[in-house]
Amino acid sequence: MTVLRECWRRSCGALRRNPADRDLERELRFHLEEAEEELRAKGHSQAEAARLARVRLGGVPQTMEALRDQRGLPWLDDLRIDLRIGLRGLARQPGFAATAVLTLSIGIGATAAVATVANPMFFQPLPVPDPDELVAITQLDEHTSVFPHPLSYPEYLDYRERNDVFEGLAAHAVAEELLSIEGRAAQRIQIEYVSDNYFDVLQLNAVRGRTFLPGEGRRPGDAPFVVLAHHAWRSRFGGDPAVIGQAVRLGPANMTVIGIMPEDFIGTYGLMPTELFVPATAGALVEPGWTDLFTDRLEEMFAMTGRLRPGVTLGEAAAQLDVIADALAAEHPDASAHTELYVIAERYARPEPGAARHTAPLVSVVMGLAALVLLVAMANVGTLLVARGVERRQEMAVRAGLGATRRRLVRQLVTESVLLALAGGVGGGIVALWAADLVVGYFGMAVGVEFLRPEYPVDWRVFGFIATTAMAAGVLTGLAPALRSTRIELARAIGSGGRNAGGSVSGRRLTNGLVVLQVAVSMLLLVCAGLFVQSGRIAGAIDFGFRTDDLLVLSVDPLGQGYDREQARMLYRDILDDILALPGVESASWARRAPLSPGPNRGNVFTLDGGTAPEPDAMRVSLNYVDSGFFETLDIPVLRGRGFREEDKASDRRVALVSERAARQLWPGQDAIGRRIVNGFLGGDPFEVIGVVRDAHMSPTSPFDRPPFVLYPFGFRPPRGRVTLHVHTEEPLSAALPAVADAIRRHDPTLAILDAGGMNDVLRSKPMLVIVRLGAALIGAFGLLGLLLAAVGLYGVVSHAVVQRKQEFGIRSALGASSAAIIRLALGRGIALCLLGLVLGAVAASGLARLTAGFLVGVSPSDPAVFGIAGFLLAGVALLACLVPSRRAAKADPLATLRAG
Amino acid sequence: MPNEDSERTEVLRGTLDLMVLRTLVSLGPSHGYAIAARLEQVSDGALLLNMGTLYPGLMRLEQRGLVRAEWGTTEKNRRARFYAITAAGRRYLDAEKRSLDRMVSIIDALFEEPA
Repeated sequence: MTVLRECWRRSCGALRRNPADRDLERELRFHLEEAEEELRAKGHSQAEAARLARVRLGGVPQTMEALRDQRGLPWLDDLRIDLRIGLRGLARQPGFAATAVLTLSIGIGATAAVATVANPMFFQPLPVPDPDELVAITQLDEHTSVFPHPLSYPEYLDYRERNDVFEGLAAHAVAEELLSIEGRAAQRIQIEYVSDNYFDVLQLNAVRGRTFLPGEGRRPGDAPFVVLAHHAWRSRFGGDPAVIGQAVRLGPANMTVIGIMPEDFIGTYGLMPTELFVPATAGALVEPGWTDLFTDRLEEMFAMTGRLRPGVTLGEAAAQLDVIADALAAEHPDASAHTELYVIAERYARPEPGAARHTAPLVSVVMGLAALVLLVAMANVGTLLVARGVERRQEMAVRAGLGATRRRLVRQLVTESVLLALAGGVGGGIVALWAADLVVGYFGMAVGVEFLRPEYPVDWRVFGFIATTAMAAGVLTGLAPALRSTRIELARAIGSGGRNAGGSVSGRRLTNGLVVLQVAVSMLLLVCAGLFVQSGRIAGAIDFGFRTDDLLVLSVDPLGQGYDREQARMLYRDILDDILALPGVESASWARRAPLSPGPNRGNVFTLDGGTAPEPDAMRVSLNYVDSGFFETLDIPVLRGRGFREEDKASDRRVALVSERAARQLWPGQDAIGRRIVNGFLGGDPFEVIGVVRDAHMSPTSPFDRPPFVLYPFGFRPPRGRVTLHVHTEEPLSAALPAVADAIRRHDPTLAILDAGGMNDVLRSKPMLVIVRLGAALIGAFGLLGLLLAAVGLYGVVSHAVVQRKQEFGIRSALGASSAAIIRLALGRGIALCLLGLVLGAVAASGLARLTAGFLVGVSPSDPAVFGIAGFLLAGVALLACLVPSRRAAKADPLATLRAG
Repeated sequence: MPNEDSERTEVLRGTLDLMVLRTLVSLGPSHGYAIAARLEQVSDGALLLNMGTLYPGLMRLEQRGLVRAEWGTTEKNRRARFYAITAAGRRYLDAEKRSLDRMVSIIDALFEEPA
């Protein structure tokens, strides 16, 4: 206890010094005066008494020093001194300080920027009470490897009713709908269709208004309400509190705003913020024809989130859900077969379960590379510190000679490097703030969608991260050089004026090691950057198997705007005729949806007459309804049989086209033409396969793959919801778009034209492609940073080495060495070190790059071109960094250097 | 000189606290000079405390809560800092005195044995 109290008092004492100092001094003066008085009383003279008292009792300053040590924490005072000396030293060499601080700022900033962006996306749980009780439940489609494969609403209800492991189980589906406020032009927004208990399961209350009441949202068409996300309330309604009770139009439906969510909740889907939450039961009002929500087991679009009962583990929950899944599969054999349930802690399913599988490892790779940038920066500053330590060897020797212990000197030097690192941390924080904005801005620009959180707060975690990184970087970079430069043979160092000190073998070894490390890590960064940039380029130019250039797509929804099916059919035909007559239009076609567009577009296909589909003879395929011009417009050739004709649009003609892969899987080694398939989604009589088309990327969930697909004639059953017009034109798209839009408006000026744009632009915003490009951009930036830092570091080391060998070079050139010979000599070591670093870096890169293989599209992790280019680039930069100081050495006047030496 | 001093301090370090506390018990609240004078007097001039030993010691006792200090006036009407033993200080003094007694009796016993 008493010791603790002493510690506490000492800490207090260390902080306030001046007033207490005055008191102490007064106390000592009193003591001396009392003693003097007594001595005078014994007959000593005034001066003699003062002298004797001082001899006997000690001087005031010395005692004060002892008291200060006792009062405060001596190391704290030492630290104060170290800081003062450190600051003074750094101020004397502003060039060195600026380089070191800038280098560390970049290193720390890069890591912190990634952490800032990654933190809310991947590492923050949902902002709801007790987020650790939440689990995400998704399925994997075993045939197509689609993950997460959504569930249908009836399935969800079965799970909800039959389980006893969850306090509550909610369903939600992300969708895009048109929102119109007070009759203004409709805007496309992201909404979530949610089950009635969604907010109860998340334990979220509205900050204004209310959420759904018990009993609301349980029957089809029920509860035409919307709950606003806070950011949508701000941006769409100007933060008007009177919004509660206001009517808005969502698609064709009139809905009432009933509540506003807390500020930090942007929905369960972390990649894009949700604006409105709508009961799934109201979906039928928004998406006409969607009345079979409660019965259609093939309308698979929901994900589930459950809150575990206290004491129930993830494994127990998963086991029970598996049992329910088996029972459901037995009860509904035609519905969702071949899926496997996954129960994941919601915390590890951020930003959404499917992406978490890809993006979380990607972020780890990016974080790792950012850490490597930091490592290069630290190695860089380390070499600078070693060089500086050599220059300051005489200073150290003098201090050691005056009685400073080695410990004390090392502490002084490490304090300096920590000081540098802290300044670097401040700089890094600024870089991080700026870079996080830049990263987000870059995403927006590259992607065309604002798919991240509205803002990135630098919270205490990121701040703590920066501070810890900076401190660690300071100690780590400072320690080795400090230990080096304080290992001194006193007499020699003082006597030689510090000149020979740099030549010691171990000193060089440390510097050499740091240079090799820098080059190697830079090589690693560059190779990774090269791989990702290359992969991003390939992903940008990926061959989707269909036309993407000169192709215009736009969607309309006449059924949603009150047309009946016959009217819509006529409208489609008339519009298509007019579009085909436009100048420059080569071909055009309607389709239910464009390739890779999201939506409920998968179904099971059963084969008849002797086909062997995978167990148990159903295959999951992606479906589309397309017009006769589709194959020409999208340049998907019909390989066998024929494409659709006008007469196929009649609803009694049940014909279909299958993709190569579908044909191969359904009828291996046999001809598909004339075979019959049954579609679980469409039901009824079988369809006759009349042709086989080339494979193409059609499924939105696996854009790098070409899963099997089946096409039906567009006219077969006029689809509800949006339909998409594809136009292949020779005109520039910017000119063609208004012409096409005019042609449509001539038929109906009120028809909303949605998502109009070039196919390339549409594809650019596909999430998986976005992630690949994003990785390429970020990692590419790290590669450049690594290159820059390595160049700075090499330059510093080589010029320092040249300065050290000034004398030697002077003698050599005095003895007749040509300047070319001097350059060769000076270059030699730098080049050798670089080569060693390059080789080591290449070896490390070939090992590490294999980890990134999963994120690379169309490029092998050991791509020789990437390794070659990275090597040459780095070697070139290194040569340049070595050449400049070497030339300076060669140009120096030998006499001047000798004299100065 | 400094060496001599530090040796003497070394000897005193363990017992200085005890002596100061004991002095405060018998004198009541006193200033530093009075404590030093008393110790010099009791030891017949053998114990000369310099300020560099006495005051850090007093400060340590204060920091550990064994003494309390406040400014007051001497009989000659001068400002001085008066130290007084606290309850914790008395407890500490008792405990240390006992362990010191034990130590002294052990040492005595050892030296009484015929060599």
